This record gives sequence, structure tokens and C-alpha cells, in this order.
Amino acid sequence: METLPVLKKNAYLTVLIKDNYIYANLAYTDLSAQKTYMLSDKTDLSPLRFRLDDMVFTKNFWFEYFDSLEKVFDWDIVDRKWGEDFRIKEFEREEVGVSGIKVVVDDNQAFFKNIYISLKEFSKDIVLRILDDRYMEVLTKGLVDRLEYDDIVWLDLDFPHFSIYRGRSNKEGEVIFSSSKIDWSNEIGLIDFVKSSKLNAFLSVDSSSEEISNRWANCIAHGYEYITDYVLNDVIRAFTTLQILSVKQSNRKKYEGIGKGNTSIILTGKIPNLLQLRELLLCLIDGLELDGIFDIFIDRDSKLYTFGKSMIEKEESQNIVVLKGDILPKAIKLLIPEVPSKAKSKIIFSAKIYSQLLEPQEIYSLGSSLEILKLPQRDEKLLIEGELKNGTVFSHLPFKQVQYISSKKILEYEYIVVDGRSRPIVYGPSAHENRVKLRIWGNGDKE
Amino acid sequence: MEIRSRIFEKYKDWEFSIPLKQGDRVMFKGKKIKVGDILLEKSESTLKKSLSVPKVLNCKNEDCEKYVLRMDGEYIEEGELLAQRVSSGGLNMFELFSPVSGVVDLSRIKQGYIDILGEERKSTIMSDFTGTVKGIDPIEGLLINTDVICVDGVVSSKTQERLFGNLEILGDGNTILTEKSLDDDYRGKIVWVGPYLYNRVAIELFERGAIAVLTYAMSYTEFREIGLPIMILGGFGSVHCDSAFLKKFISLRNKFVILDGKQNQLYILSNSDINHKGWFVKQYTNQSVISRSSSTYGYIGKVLEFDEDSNFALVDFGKRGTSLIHIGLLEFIDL
Repeated sequence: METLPVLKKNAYLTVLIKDNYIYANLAYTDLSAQKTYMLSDKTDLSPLRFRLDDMVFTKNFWFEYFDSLEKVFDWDIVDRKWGEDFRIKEFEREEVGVSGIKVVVDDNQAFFKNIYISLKEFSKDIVLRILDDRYMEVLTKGLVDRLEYDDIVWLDLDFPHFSIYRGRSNKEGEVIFSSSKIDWSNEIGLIDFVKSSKLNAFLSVDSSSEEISNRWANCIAHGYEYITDYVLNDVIRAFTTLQILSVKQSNRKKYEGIGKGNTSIILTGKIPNLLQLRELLLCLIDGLELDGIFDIFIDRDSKLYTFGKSMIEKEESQNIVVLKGDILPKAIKLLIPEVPSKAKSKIIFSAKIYSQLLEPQEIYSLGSSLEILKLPQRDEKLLIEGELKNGTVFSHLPFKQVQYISSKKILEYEYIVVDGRSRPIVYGPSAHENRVKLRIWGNGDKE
Repeated sequence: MEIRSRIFEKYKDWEFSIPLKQGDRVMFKGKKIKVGDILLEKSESTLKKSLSVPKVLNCKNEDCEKYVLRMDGEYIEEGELLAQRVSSGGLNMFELFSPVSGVVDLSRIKQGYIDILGEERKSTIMSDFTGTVKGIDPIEGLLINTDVICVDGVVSSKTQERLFGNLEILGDGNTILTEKSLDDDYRGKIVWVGPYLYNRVAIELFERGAIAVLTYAMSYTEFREIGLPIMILGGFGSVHCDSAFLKKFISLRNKFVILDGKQNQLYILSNSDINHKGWFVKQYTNQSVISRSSSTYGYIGKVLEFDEDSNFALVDFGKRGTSLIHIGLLEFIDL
């Protein structure tokens, strides 16, 4: 019997070049066997950042890249019978061949033209696309429909580029797109920014300005992949909060009413991979001045950039049919209620987690802190039923009870985060005061 | 995947130009340059005094030019007025007088210096590399095609142009020197001062004619304040300069170098026999790395073991011992 085209086995490789990274995602689907997955890899190009306009992107470089990728994925990608000519190995089965390779190059990527031309000359088999505002508009709008949110806010956070994209359904059901950016074209300017009084108001470390400048300059100059230095960690947190806040304050209209509808926030870029979850959430909440209920997705492998369009197009996708569960990272349910001053150290939220195989588990959170509650990772569905307590309410939502289902391959939650801090959130004036506040806000992680 | 950073990268057939100044004469005839060929004859004058204009006139480097009252090449007597700045509507006047007699040289005015030159002397530039002459251009200078070694760094933003000079290594290249141990004349030199640079040494070097200063590390604040062409090859603050790097760098002593402020790269004219490994690191163990972890920052070592679950690698730093470091804080290098 003939298999329906949509059910046929398939594999497709999409590569994204953005902010001095090469992200590679290889999607495999065998829907008739209900087997789908995605392999991911990330390559940091920052050791080459001053040489990207020189002679780096030769045929040899790209050959070596795909050659190495084959080994990492344990998947045959290159058809070697063509020798010097790069040809794609036609898809045969799992681990052998792909039906196509697409390379998406961000138009903000340094030496974009060099990279784009080098790929064009490298192989005619590769489909080339440009990641620009139009690409993001189609993607964001499509995600609003596909993921069934009223509002999607996408923050792409890298040191030299901060971008916020928003797709929001209006009353007529039309999705309105908007975007804002901060670009640091000059690295020295970005390093010098650490001395600004605005940024200092967000810092919580007492180190000397000299020490902060040196560490920040080394971080920008060398492109760290991991942070253990608490001073640097604090600078990145302060910098990120201020950058997001600045975008919001200069574009009030574009970002009003976030959280009033069914809202999702997507985080991509380098900074979400460097900061700890708590710091990252503080940057996001305080930068965007959030309140309400949100689903947060931290896309560390750029799967939404590479296969978001295929996910939106579902079975209409020309490349490959991918499932939501393979693309979307595990979500964080973020609840930001209005906490009355009398509930400062009382329980403000309690919930029960139900599953078919586990005893019901109770979770709760206290006022004054940002509590990160880790949910059990189970194969079966989880039901989370919760309620706000002690006079705590959602400022613009009429209900106090919430109910969520966490389900693998559809929408799986990893954490519930309750921000029980009293509003307004005020930073400064001194690092000492920020340190005290951050300590209070960080008093309640539960796993 | 991890990319291997080529600390000293070989660039083949790289094109550059030796800028020609007034009085320079191209001696080389033909196309192919051999080691020992005389390329240029330069007429240079002895440096009698370098004067820092911003120090006296209290102005920015980039503004110095507009306060100079003498022409480039003009003879000036001791005690004559050289530059003047009037501020606060004429209430304040800053004046710079020449402390010696000599010829005014304004070639470094953009860096804030006026040089007073003495008697003229002839010198020749001899090639220590092989290459091909592509042409002679009155604006670009002597255009040459050759192999170079490229080193990345961070260059002070004040330097946008390409600077050409001889690589001068101060002392043994590894000792942090004070201004007391400097020579009198560094004209035509791009000077490596050692692993750490203090701004007073940099200022002294520029006052003695240096074209640019190279170091492994310095304070970021001083780097920004100094406003002179400085290239940092390692990092900011107290950064360890590993002997593996230093040994290779010092071996390039006296070579011609080009500092490109726009590209943040230093090109050393040298026909090296560097054989690079592939760009991508196929396996982590036994690979050379440079640490970006705060406790071992700048140390070069070899990966002994790597744990995939935790992403931590055990790195042998030789005499410094072994350390367990997250892979994200290691830069794989080809050295």
C-alpha cells in the first residue's frame, strides 16, 4: 500500500548563521512509526570574528563544517562521489541522507555579504535564505496562529543586538506585528556602556569600576560561553534588564498591554544561555514590567528560527513536517499577581499536581520572593490546579484559580514561577540595596 | 562543535603597502623580492624633542591640529610659539613654545604629538621576507604581495588606519619594564612592551617616537584614556601571558609589522612554516586550550579528560597544575 506523502520518512537540515554562531538542526520524522526528533548543534564563530571578512569562508571551511557535522550527528549528509563538488546525500533512511539543506543567514551577522556569497559559491544544492525583519514578521505572526496565543513577544538577546518582536491578535482576529532594536555597532561603545550611571543603578556588586570594566571588556572581547564569575554575572543581569527596559520605554505603545491576553514570551540569543534562570527571569519581568500570566520558552538551539516556519505550515511544509513538541522547548509558566502588603511573608499561591501514576503533590509559594517551582518530568500528563491566596489577585484578570495541563510533545511545563514581589519594583540607588533586594527576591527555589 | 582559534594564522599572498613619506626613494627594481633586497631609502632626521600638545593646551588629541601655528617642515627657533589655544572667550590662553630649535614634524599630530627634528640622515629598508611588488603608488606607497602571520587583538578606537613599522621587543619581552629602562628614539617602531602595559610607559614611548605599542594586557580604563595607538593581544586587567604564546611572539622580533586598527589585527611580514590544524575540533582530549576561567585566565594547557554529562574538562596547565573547567570557559587553540 502507498504511504501518504506526509507520513513518509524524511530528514531535513537547517543551518542558521547569526550573531557569530552557526546553529544546525536536523529534523527527522517517521510519522507512520510515530518517531520524530531533532538533532542540534551550535558552533561559536567568535574565535574568527576579526577574520570573517578575510579568507575564512572558503570551500574548505564549509566542507570541513559539514564533514564535522556528520560526525556529531552520526548522519551521512555529504555525497562524496562528487569529490570537490559539494552535493547533498539524498535521503534514504534514518542516519543516511537528507532531503535538503537550508542555510539561513541573519542580515545583522557581521560580514553577512562575505558569508552569503561564500555559501552561494560553495554549493548549488543548498537553499539560502536571509533572516531579516520580514522573515521575523512571517514567523511571529504564524506562531500566534499555530500556538494559539493572543500575543507573542520574542526577545532575541545578544550583547551587540537586542531585538524585540511582537505579534498580537486584534479584535478583528488580525495579527499586528511590531519590532524594536538596539544595535551596538561599535564594540568599544558597548564596553564603555558599563560605566553609565543608568547601568550602575541596577548593579548589586560593590567591585571597583576598574574591575567591572576589565571583566566586562574581556567578556565582550572573548565571547564567553559560560559564566562562573559572580561580578560578570551581575553585570550581564544589570545590562540585560536595562536594555529591555530601554526598548520598552522608548516604544511604550508597541509594548503596552503585554500579559492582558493569552501571552507567550520566546527568548533566544546568547544571553539566555549565559544567565541562570532566576537572573534571566528577573531581567525579563523587570525589563518589560510584566504582570499577569505567561508561557515562557527559552529556545537555546534556535529551533524556532530554523524550523518554526515548517511547524507553522504543518503538513503544507515543503521541507519537512515537524511536530510542535520537537520544536518547542519545555515551557515555564510564569504567574505575576498583585501581592497585598499584608501577604508579604504569607502563602500567596498554592497548587496541587496530579498525574495518573503519582500521588497528588502540593506546591506553594510565599510573598516577597520570586519562586521557581520545578515540576516532575513525567511521560504521562500532569494536571496543575492552583489558587492565589491571602488577598493576592491578578491585576487585570477576573479569576484566582488556575489550571494547566503539561503534556509531552504538545506543551510540557518544566517550571512554575510565581513572582510574589511587591510592586513597584525599584532598583537602586546603591549596589548594597540591590544586593539586599535580590537576596530577598531569591529566597525560595523549590525542586 | 568547537572551532580552533588560530593564534598565529598564516595568510598567503596578502597585499599591503609600505607608505612613502617625503624624501623616501624606492630602491627596489623588479618584481620578486628576496630576503636582503633593499626596498627603500629613507631620509630621516634625528628626533630632538617630542611634545605632547594635549598636555599643554588641555585639549583632545583630535583637536590638536587646529591649534598649531607652524607648518609641517618649517624651521623653528628655541622659545618660539608653536601652538596656541584660546578658551573662555579669550580669558584663558594656553601656549606651547618650542624648547629646542629644529624642524617641525606634524606627522603624529592626530595622536597629539609635535616632533622637533634635528639633522637629516639616510637609512635603508631591507627586506627580510620574500614577496612580489605589485606596483608603486604615490598615495598607497609600495604595494607588495607576501605571506604574513596574523594575530588578533583589540586596538584603541583612535587608530583606524594601518600603521607600518618594525617590531621592537623591549628587554626580554617578558619583563614588565618601567620608563627608566627605555631608549631615546623609537621612531619607525611598533613596540612590544611585555605582558602588561602601564600608561606612563606608553606615553614615554610615544614621546620618543613609537608608532604604536603592543602588549598582552592593560587596564581597560587606561586603554581608553590614553587615546594612542595601542593593541592588546590578551585581555584587560591582570591577565596571565602564557610562555607558549610569548615564545612564539618574541621569535618575530625585528620583523616588519602592520597594525590594522580597523580590523583589530596585527600582520607580521614573515614567510613562516606554520601548518594549521583543521578548523573544527574533532575530539577534546589532548587538545591545546586557553583558559577563560577567572582563576586560570590566560593559561594555556592541554585537555586531559572531558566529561560529556557535566561538560567539564580536566586541563593540565603544566607547572600551574591541573584544573577542572567548564568547556564554555575554554578556547581551543592552534599554537
